[in-house]
Amino acid sequence: MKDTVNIKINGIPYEVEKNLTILEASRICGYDIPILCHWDHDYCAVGSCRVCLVGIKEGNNTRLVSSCSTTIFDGIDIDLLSPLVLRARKTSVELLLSNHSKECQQCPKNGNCELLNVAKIVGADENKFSGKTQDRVIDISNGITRDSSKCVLCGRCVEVCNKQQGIGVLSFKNKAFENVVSPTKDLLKDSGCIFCGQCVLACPTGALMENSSIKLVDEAFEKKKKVIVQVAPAIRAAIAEAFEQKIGVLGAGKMFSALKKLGFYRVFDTNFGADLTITEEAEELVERIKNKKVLPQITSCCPAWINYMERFYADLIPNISSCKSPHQMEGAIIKSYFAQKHNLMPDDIFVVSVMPCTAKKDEIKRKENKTADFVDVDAVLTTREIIFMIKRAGINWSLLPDGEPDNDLIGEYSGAGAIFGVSGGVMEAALRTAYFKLVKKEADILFFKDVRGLQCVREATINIGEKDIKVAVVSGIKNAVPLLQDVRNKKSPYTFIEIMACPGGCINGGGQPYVKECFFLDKNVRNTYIEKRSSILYNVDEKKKIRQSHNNEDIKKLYNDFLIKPCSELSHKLLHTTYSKKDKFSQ
Amino acid sequence: MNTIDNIKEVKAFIDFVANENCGKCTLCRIGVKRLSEILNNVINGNEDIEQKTALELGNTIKLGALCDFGKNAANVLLLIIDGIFQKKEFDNTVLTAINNFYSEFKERAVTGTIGKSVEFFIDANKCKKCSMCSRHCPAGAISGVIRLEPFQINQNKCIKCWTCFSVCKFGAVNVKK
Repeated sequence: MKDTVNIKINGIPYEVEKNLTILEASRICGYDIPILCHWDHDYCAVGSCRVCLVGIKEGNNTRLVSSCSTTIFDGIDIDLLSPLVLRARKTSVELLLSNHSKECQQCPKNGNCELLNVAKIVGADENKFSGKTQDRVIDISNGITRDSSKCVLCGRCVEVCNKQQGIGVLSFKNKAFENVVSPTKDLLKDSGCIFCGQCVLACPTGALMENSSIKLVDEAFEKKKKVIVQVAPAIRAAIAEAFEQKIGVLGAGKMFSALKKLGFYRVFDTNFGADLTITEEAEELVERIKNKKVLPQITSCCPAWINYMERFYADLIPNISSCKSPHQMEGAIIKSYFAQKHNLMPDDIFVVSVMPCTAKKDEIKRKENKTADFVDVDAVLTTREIIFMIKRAGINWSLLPDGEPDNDLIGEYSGAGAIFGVSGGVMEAALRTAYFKLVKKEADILFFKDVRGLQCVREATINIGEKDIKVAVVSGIKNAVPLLQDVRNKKSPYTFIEIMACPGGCINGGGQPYVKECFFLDKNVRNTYIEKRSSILYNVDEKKKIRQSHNNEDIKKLYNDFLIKPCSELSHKLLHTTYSKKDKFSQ
Repeated sequence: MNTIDNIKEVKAFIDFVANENCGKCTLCRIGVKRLSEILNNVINGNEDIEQKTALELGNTIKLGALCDFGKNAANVLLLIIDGIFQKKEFDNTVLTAINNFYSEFKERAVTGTIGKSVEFFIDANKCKKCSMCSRHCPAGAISGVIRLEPFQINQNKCIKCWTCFSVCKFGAVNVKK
């Protein structure tokens, strides 16, 4: 029998579980309380916004408390209805609005803004209070833009950065009216930010947003450049959500048709780049195992992880795979191989990557990537930005036919490339190819299913030939720390480690569409959306005939015609990169 | 009668609460600021401000602020509103209230220890296991068994609101700055 307590809401008696907050209990009983600063009870119960105020009746008096942080007790008499409570909530929102930049029309968050949402619910008048506003700070970094005038000081980003990701770039500064959320050294780029973008997903307003590149793309079209777009594996798992579809709908077909309608010269799939990464990375792994070089090998696909490693674990550089991330590789191939075959100059080509990631925006500006005479990728758009462009062009999503990426030299992809967007996908794909290279026969697909799952740290032992190798998969940068300490102390039992900075992998990246249901604290959605998105990608893999990167015909052709063999001199020039130790507090 | 000294005192108080709160909850950070702006306007002779708005705001802060600092500040501010609009003077009640407020909060505020960078501990020897603190804790951060086990503060849940410090009648809550 569960422990229950008797509570009263607006005078009506209910019986609910013990130890719930007032917010949770009222949700169970069918009352929605507006919330703003509340994010997740495990991380955050600050009760700072005062939007979720409710009354507790004590005799003739009513006490106001924040419902998100107050626990229910037996006999509690909750008041959600009296004018006192409603006015208090309204006042809180009106006060927030009085210190908020009122540029809603041009705010990219418009439509997903939680502040506007609660303002609507409580019926706030934005001009009720007026007075001095805080000084506005606009901090534009490579990946993320912070606009202090839109900040409501809910502290979610601080919680996520400190507790979920374990980086601690953002914190509160100053007291009273001058209190702000600010990076340690005022600017994000000086403060050791890795641009994972989890704070952007947590921000209820437009205070933290990706640094928009739509202008760059528009300019490239204007200059009549050949604008080639490539789409990351994780985009198709989430893009349909923005067009009023449920979570868990594959958006690939419609997405490719939409991109073709937007006028791109070619529409490619980064899955091909993923296959190429795997071919190179597996070769590197096999070489490390055979020649007993530095192990464990650690993946390098996640630019936020690379940023983190260079700042905090630079001594592990020999362990990091030297492969560029898939979209960089694909960009390099487009500007060399593809351009050669089509008699184009690399300068005439403008490569746009659509990525679920804010760190990729920073990655394309890395000095270390300029191994060739051109920039691999010219602009990175997040999922949200491409959704904006599709909507701006007036393309009706529901009427779009199912399309395919252009099948022009680098069109084909394998199932292994498709699962790159999920945490564990890179590992599985690389193992499929490494197994083939070491044992000289194909492994059964389900042989590696141990690396799948939703936990943030997973390990598996894989039997390759006569040898067992141990591998680990980590998502969420904080969870990598114990493993990295082991590697640093030369105690790591693993041969291969995959690290993704965002919990769940790229499908939950900082550039993905906001999961609106999470704002309203639908626990079922919050616990399952990563699972739903990842099952889409595993389905894509299952439906593919070719499921190993090395069996991709276009990859084979690329090596025959151009790169000669994996890890050749040319592929090192085009597809590999270097890393260097960076100062924690500046770039 | 309003003496110049009284007005000075009141103005200083308004500035004090507007500038020395921790800035964590909306009602204190922006609410007290807006109220102080309104009151300063009135004191400076700008009469066309609605008394109702000020009263409503003051009452909301008094009931809804996160911690005792905000609630008590609003209480005194309401007396000041009363003084401005009804009695047209600041009498001794206002001044006493201001002084009481100072004696409780000035040290905490000036040393910057309202709201953050402090940790609270309950001294198990001094704790009388009365559960007063846990009943008042807005974050549900204090656990213990009434009359049997001393109470303890869960630092991860603690929101540094000083409520337990204020309500404990036995001085069992210690502050580590």
